[in-house]
Amino acid sequence: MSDNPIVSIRNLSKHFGRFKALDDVSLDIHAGEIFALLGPSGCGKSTLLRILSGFETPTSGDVLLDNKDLVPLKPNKRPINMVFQSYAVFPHMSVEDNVAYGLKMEGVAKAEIKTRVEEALEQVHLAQFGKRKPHQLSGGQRQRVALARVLVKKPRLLLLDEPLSALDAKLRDAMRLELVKLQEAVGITFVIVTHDQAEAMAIADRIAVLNEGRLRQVASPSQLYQKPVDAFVADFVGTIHCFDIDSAAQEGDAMRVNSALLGTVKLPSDAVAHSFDSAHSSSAESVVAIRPEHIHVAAQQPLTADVALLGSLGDIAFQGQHSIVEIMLDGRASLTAVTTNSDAQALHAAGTGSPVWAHWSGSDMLLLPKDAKGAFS
Amino acid sequence: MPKHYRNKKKPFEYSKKWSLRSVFLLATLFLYVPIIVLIVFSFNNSRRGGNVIWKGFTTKYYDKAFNNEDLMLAFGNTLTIAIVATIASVILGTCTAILLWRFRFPFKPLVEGLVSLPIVIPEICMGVSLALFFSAMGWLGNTSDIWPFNLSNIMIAHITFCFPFAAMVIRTRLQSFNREMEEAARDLGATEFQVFKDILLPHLKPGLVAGALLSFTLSLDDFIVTFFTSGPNTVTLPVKIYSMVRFSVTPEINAASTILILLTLVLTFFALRIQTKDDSIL
Amino acid sequence: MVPLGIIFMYSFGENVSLVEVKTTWTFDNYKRIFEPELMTLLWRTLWISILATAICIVVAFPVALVIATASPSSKAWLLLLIMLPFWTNLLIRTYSLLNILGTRGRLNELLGWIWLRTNDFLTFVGAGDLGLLGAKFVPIKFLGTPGGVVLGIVYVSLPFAILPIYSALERMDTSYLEASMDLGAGQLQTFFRILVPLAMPGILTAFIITFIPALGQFLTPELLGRGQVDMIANVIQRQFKGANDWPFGSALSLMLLYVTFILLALRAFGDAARSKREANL
Repeated sequence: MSDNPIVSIRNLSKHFGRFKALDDVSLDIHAGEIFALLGPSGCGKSTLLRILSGFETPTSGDVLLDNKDLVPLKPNKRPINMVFQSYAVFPHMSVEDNVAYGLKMEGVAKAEIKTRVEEALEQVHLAQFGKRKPHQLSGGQRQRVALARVLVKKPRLLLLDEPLSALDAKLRDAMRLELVKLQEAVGITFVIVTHDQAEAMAIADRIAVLNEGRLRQVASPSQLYQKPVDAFVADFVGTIHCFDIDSAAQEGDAMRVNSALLGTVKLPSDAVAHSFDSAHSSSAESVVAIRPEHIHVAAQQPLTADVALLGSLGDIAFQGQHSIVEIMLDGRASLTAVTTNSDAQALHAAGTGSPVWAHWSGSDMLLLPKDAKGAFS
Repeated sequence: MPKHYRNKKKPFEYSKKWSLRSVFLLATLFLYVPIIVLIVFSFNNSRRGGNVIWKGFTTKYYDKAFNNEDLMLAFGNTLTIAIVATIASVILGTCTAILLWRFRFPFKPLVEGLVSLPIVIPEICMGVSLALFFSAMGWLGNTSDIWPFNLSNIMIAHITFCFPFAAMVIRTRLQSFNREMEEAARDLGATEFQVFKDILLPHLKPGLVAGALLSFTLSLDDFIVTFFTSGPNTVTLPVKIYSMVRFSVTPEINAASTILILLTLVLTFFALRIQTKDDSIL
Repeated sequence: MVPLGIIFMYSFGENVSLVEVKTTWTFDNYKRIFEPELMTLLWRTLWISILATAICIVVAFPVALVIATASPSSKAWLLLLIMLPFWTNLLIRTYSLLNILGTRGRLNELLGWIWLRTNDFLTFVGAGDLGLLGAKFVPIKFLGTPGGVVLGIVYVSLPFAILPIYSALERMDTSYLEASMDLGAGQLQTFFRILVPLAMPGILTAFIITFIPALGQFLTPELLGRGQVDMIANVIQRQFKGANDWPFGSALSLMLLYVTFILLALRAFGDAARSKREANL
């Protein structure tokens, strides 16, 4: 990535009374990327977006755009534009007038406004809809208007607040692709706020995971999934089963982990999160974890497996390309495993409650701190 | 052959029950018959006040009403007051509504309560307190003032009881305003004033129209407050009609009343037109 | 913002001026309220208002129910039909009623005609000599009677009562009614045990919105009561326009204000209690 970030956020905090919406967040956004702010509701991602757009003032910290201080600028003076969650397409103006509004505010000449509006509408495939009023458009079309309205201003940074949450599932998938294509075409840096990890994974070049106002990790989607910095991130970006450990100790190149449920497992060094250090080796601080797609299910005890647990067969859920099998572990917990449909059918024949083995390899596991306390890549 | 059923009423379609329908019909008749009779008999060619019997069609009482200088002066006063009160109420109501919607300040509930006071208290209390207020200020309907300044008492009184209604209507409209619209406009480069002019005001338009209409009708309708605050030479149409009714019931009053009813009808009609047009936009 | 400040001062000023007039700190004006003559008047004001309000609500409920359950297209028209008279001048409406209710007014004319026809019919069937309907038609006296005043108040405030009940019924979820029937309640039981209780907030609003103006009614008793069925407002008016006893008039209108505030406070209290109860559910 380029060394010169377009946006640079340094030690940013925002407090609402005693509530810390953002707590000492530092991150860089690079020019030309799609950057996602991901987290559960109330994690501070929207506050961060509103600070970027200028509708909130930070309590402390710096926000630099192209190395210039952004904080004192009023929202209408920032080269940053936003697509609102409700789209906020002005209901009393036609599509054209909506798109032209920002240019009029800039004082752009009429003739230029006309061509640029046409261009922007073309970009979002709404060229024929210019004369319509927002109430004559579908939700998806209204979103395109909101997009055209900000693209036309050619901002340095484009902010999108939960851009796909108001669309139905099918349209959402189509819009994901379209947003990525659009971003490639215009080359503007996008910052997307979302609570949907699948959406962030599908769209973003890099993702920042936030929780309770603190930044947990910034990484590419695949890194985030494969190398989560802690148990919270691992769980938030996909299903993962965590097991408490009793102890963890270095043993040559590998890590030997003792767990009441799993016994002793050896993990290769790349299965250990880099945020893990000796401070995390006590039992209360860390977990070992495995994702469902790495769990195998068998009716017989496997001959060679690092971990093998005997349980009883629970429900089987058909998912289309694959099936999800539930394994009940002797009243303590249950696991889910992703299997092929044919395997699932074979298991189904054995009947619910029949004994099954869940097994996996130690190299697929992760040793994670429960809370990485602000460590990030 | 399959069994057929008569299309039966669903149990809770109360509007299709004849017993309830007839109550509705009777209530509507009860509301309308007196007014219709009043209008019809304004065309009755009979001199007598009670005008019981239909004696043929005539418009002479309208001629008489239009040529009655006192009546026409009162009518002009009524309209002037209503127009001034409406404009002032809408402006004041908008300011109040935005103030209460936008800002937080100490004693806000108290201010809210004070503003809505004229809506809840009986009219006669309003009339009495305003009359007392004007007399305490030594601001009695000064006959020497030239028209329309001699009406300023009544105008102020009308504004006082109209603007809370306008504020209420506009506030309701404000509540449906999406704050993201405002932020979107700011984000696109608009200043605070441009946001107000381009975004908020168009959104408020139906509320402004409704508030204006409500103020106008209230001002047009008001009798009690005017009765208490008007001087001997500043008479509005309702007050004039009242004093005429006290003497006798004449077809001329019927005619004057009909004019006022007609005015209200036309206003309501226009308001509905504007309202439905706006609804289709939003 | 400045105009608001002025109005704020104004509303304040009104109150101050009211107080000023009676700042001799005498309670004489208040004592006078409790003299027997005025007590009868207050009592009359109260029962006329209550009766008129009750009639309004009883009539308004079915009317509101019909509008609320009508088809969406006709709903707007029915509502307009009911609300149109509300836009018409109060004085004119009272006057139009006056026009009809006179002893020789049109209502009596109509009743007389019906009496005559019925009598003809009775004669025709051979029962005329029995004098079932009395020997002669006696016009019903509306003007100058409490009945006329009640009728007048009902007439002018009916639309006010309909609106809140309508909006309460409009919001109601029919599934409550269906659940009630599903559990074995009949139409009438559902009506009284489910529909009416659920519409209670609307009914209470209708009560307040009808009752408070009814208490302060001036025109109706003045015109339809013919000075024989005075209510508190008439006395207040006379203090200002005739007797020139302003302090006493102020005391009376303050009485009216207190009653208003007590009613509003009671309602706010009830609202708070209800929302608390609902929050606990």
